[in-house]
Amino acid sequence: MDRGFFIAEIETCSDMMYRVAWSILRNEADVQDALQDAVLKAWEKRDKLREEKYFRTWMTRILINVCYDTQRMHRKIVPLDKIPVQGSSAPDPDLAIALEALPEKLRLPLVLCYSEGMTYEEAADVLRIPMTTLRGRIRRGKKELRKELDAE
Amino acid sequence: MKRDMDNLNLRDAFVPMPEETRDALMSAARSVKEEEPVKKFTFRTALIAACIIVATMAVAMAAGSIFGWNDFFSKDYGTTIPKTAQEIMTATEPVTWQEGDVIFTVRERYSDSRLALISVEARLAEGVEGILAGDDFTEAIGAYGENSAAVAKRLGVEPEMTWVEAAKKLNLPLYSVRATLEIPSELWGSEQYEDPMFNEDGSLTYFSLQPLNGQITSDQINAKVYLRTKKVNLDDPDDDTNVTKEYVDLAIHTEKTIALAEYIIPEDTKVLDAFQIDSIQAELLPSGLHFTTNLTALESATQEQALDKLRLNIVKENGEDYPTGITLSSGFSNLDTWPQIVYTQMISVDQIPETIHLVFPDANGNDTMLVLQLKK
Repeated sequence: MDRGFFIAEIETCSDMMYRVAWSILRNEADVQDALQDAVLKAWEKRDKLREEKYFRTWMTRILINVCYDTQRMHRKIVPLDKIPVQGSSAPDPDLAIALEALPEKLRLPLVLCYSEGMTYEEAADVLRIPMTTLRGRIRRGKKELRKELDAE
Repeated sequence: MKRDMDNLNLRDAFVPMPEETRDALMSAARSVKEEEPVKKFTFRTALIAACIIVATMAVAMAAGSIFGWNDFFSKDYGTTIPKTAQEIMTATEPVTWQEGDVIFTVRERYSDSRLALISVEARLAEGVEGILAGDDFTEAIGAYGENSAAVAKRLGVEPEMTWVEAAKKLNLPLYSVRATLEIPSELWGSEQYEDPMFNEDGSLTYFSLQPLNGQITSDQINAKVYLRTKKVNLDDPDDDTNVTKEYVDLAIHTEKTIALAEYIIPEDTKVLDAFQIDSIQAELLPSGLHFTTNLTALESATQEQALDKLRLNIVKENGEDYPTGITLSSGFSNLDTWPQIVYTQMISVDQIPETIHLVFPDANGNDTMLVLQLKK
């Protein structure tokens, strides 16, 4: 993979990367750090990407791992009402608030499939979970999301 | 307002990326340097590419017949089942039941002390017209990748279309099926998994695997198979009026352990400088090789550290991963026995290696590799 290809792919994936990182970290400063760290890590590991057509899922997997590392480093107790919510400024505030109310385990599969358009196969691969587990989380996630939306 | 959960678009739940964040991201991307050329194409990668082509052809050849476990693992998980287990799985005569308009046939069955599995072919009874789906019939047909996208192609509909929409469009009845293995709960190891694969002739194969806890003592498991057929009400898919279900008995012979072995651990081998490796045992079964690593958490260790950072991986001499074992899982399931931790890994091979290469994080959290010999 050459530098030009890498930069172009990052540019293409940038919005997706932002949404995925935000889904996990929910803090602009952490998201900004994680995005930069993930990009540098991806370049370091570029020889591990066997086929360039898988760049998007490969990059997403690296980003998610970096986000988890960031989360662990910054783990602290934050009262729920102090967690920043993007909801009010998102195009669909109700949906944003409902989505943020879901546990991350259910939120991330939904975001990968229903915001980033990944197939179940790709999302299971990115999250390193069997497809059956992914399907179960999607099903539960949708149910919970509906409950949250109905409650509003 | 009620949302349409089948056409969910979550993109509107996010604010656009701030320009400042985009600039930071792209600056990081532009800061990378070429340095030395990246290893791109070696004999090994050529070999891997060749293997992938052969594997793909094998799957394509299998497409005319009924999918079995080996197709399931090779197609979706890049691994295979050792030959001995493959032969055992198909050695017993198929058994058939009918649930509503669907005929279920158990084509493969296998169990040992670590896992039990079945594959069940489901097809519409003679003279019944319709589409057969798994239990996620409100999802897009193509959601499970290449195999289900082929169904969309065969039906002449878009893969983004749900099973319900396709059945409506084609004016055909839709049947949803499940066929899962039910094992007595005292034998359960970890979470069961199940999935369908769609055969070219319109039937489907339903796969169900239950990891076991190694506690079985008898040479047979008296299992049940849960068979469920639902003729879907296309106007109200949640309507369960037309459901028929049944538990049927299925005895599965339990295969014995082929060999047990242990590796020599150098004294004072520590993971993350906090977990002492006490022993590594290997148990060879027809379905593959199970490694069990026993560790003791030292005083400085925390459970959070174990959950976040304790990772062990037994790899080949060249650092490559072994083919994943068919339980598709590795790690430890809980910390109930703290400070003792039992870490497991299954690989798909048919003999115990004389030497293994264990990769684990050292005191600084960096991966280190230890070569271990078999105890004689």
